[in-house]
Amino acid sequence: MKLRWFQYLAVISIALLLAGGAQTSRRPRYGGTLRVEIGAVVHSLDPAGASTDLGEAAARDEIGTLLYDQRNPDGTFAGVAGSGAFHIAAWELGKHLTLTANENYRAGRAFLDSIDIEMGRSAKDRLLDLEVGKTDFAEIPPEEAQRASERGVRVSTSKPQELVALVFVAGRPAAENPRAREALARSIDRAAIVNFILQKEGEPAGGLLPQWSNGTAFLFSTSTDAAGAKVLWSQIAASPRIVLGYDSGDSLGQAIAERIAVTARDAGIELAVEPIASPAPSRPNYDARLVRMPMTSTHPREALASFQAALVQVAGLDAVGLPVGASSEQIYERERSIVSGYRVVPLVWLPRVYGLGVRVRDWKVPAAGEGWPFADVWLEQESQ
Amino acid sequence: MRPPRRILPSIVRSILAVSLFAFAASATVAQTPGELPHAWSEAVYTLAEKIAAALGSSHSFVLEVNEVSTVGAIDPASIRKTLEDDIALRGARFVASGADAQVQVTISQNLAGFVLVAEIRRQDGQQVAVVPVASTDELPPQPGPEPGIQRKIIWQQAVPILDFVQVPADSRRTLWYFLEPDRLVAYEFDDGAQVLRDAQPVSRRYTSRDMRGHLVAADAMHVSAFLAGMRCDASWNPSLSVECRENAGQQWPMGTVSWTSSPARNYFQGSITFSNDLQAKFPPFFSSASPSPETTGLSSSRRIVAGLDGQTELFVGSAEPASNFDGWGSDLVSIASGCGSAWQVLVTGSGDWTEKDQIQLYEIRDRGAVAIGEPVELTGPILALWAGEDGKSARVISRNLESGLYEASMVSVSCSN
Repeated sequence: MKLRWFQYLAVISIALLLAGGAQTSRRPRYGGTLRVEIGAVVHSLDPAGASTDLGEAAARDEIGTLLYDQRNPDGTFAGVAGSGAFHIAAWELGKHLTLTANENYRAGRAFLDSIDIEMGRSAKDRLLDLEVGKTDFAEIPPEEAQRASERGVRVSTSKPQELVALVFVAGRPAAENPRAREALARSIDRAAIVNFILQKEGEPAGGLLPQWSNGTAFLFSTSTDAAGAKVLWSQIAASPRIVLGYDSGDSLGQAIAERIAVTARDAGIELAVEPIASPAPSRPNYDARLVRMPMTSTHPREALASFQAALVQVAGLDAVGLPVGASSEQIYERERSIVSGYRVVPLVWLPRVYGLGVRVRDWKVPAAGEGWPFADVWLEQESQ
Repeated sequence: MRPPRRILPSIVRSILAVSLFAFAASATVAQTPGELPHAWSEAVYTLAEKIAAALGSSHSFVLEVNEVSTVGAIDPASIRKTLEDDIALRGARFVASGADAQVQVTISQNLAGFVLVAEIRRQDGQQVAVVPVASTDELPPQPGPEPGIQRKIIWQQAVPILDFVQVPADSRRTLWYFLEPDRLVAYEFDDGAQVLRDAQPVSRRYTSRDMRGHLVAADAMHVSAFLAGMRCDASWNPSLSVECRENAGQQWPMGTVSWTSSPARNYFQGSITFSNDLQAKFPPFFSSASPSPETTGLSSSRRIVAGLDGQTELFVGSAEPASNFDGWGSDLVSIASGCGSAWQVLVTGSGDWTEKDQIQLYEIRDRGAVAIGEPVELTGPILALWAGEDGKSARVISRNLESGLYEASMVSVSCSN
């Protein structure tokens, strides 16, 4: 393999850092600017502002966790911007944001002096900048994790915490046909999605919670049953044509949808794949859509409740809550009752993947529902 | 002031912590079939009840036990044996084949800990039962003493510890003081058993994300805490009283000298004040060590400083460093091990707080440092390393990355090794 000039540069800088034993330290050091690149273009930092762009909403939420001290139980931020570990120093709408450490932060001043966030950077550019040391932190699409690692990028991966699911849209003819729903669900080859599309950076999902959360995910089947799907589909008198939508701009969603279409057709199911424009039409012209749902909590009851709330409207699920202190058994039963109707078909669990620069220290992968832990991060080779 | 209170239930936990090594030897994970730890036994009992109820009119069953947990916490054969017996007591009969029902039990793990999951399949349907296994107070096995350096864990807790001291009150009673970010906690042990506990808040002028604190014991009944711009004097007689005031000069006594702290940060400013009020100036540092003239015969003008830039430098009576040592962590202490007359220091490892740490013994010979023996490995980062009151040991605060608990331990050097 022939390295390009910037790859040599990255290798040399990593080697120099590792060789410089005298520069290593364990106790955190103050100072420095963390350079961050994100793909989203954030137009407003108002946490109450609505956004139809999921990437923008997620980025705004991450920034919010740096600016605000606390969250309300409903997930909104409490207090005023700047009460958190950082406050806004410069803000170029949709392009660039500079945050500086809040000297009076209740939990102690962050180790970093400031954070520079550059917006609208494509995944390819983020990866390249990580390789040449032009940035210290960037999220990497899960399907790119292996490649990033092979190219020498320091990669940090969370537990699976984002569910990709196929959700039938309540009221649509195909969605109201239980046999059609079950046939499509049975035809899906989750292993192929994980192995080929996600490059093994994910897990097949049969339930609505990952195994680490409630400990019962193994009870849900994730295997494909093309023969069963074929039989079920053949039993439908007038076989409907199913239209599967995915968010336009979500390349991973598109790849997964197209893979589903391939295995569906193998089972004789007529399935078309279409992008869903943003904002989504008020009267959907698709029967099912792919949704990506990040876990909002590590706790199984809270995580399931938030998934359920998100799915009530689109899938027409019953909004039955789980009691406080619900047991693992009750949570499993609720999961089972949701997925057994095939209105919601869990597909895969995705981790969050982060690319880190060589000088980033004390990085801990955020758990589900947590933001970037930049208040605890510090930089090697920065003066105090 | 709060009166001292007797806390019988927590004595169990404290004794567990203090006598960790006794437990560590027995806290192995392997059991012979039929011998289950209490929490597992309770969970199996509950699961057997649920399975028996689910079997209903089915009188015979086949049982399979497997595990999806990545941690081999328990022997599935033990679970199976106990479960068979417990279900049999409730009237159902285990058979090898031709049963009315199939029971598949899986040892799984969730956010809270281990769970036992049973899938009961009968001809007329399927049922799932999930029973959590209560977390136990049993502590994980700890590594044994390492050659050269010996580490003894004496306390574990979920709340961060900044420093601790142990002071004997008389031949039977010992007092332990633990400094936490918001309070000072005192424990009294009589003949090894905890009899009293009290805690009082300490005030802070500043908050740091890497808060440091230091305890100095005048005697068993009087300790002073230094943290976050404050000095808190505490007395125990037999309840704990604490008075805090601003530490105007930010001086922290360290044996015969004092260091000037940067109270809103995690380091010291670099000036070291001697008992005769003379001051020496060094670069700002995380920690510093000087030889004991009594044991080494060396002048106290020799000093090692672990600087903020990751450089650890040796100063010998000059403002310019005589040498520097590579690969050292940010905390170090001198230790008078009694093994030879050389100046010896204990040094933490490099890396960051997401990684395991180590303590290495070095001898400072002339202007160089020689590693002595093998380092002692810890299960997480060392957050504080302070010289023991006797100079022959060191107090270590670390965080166990597996359990998340903060551990207080004493480190000493064994000559025989």
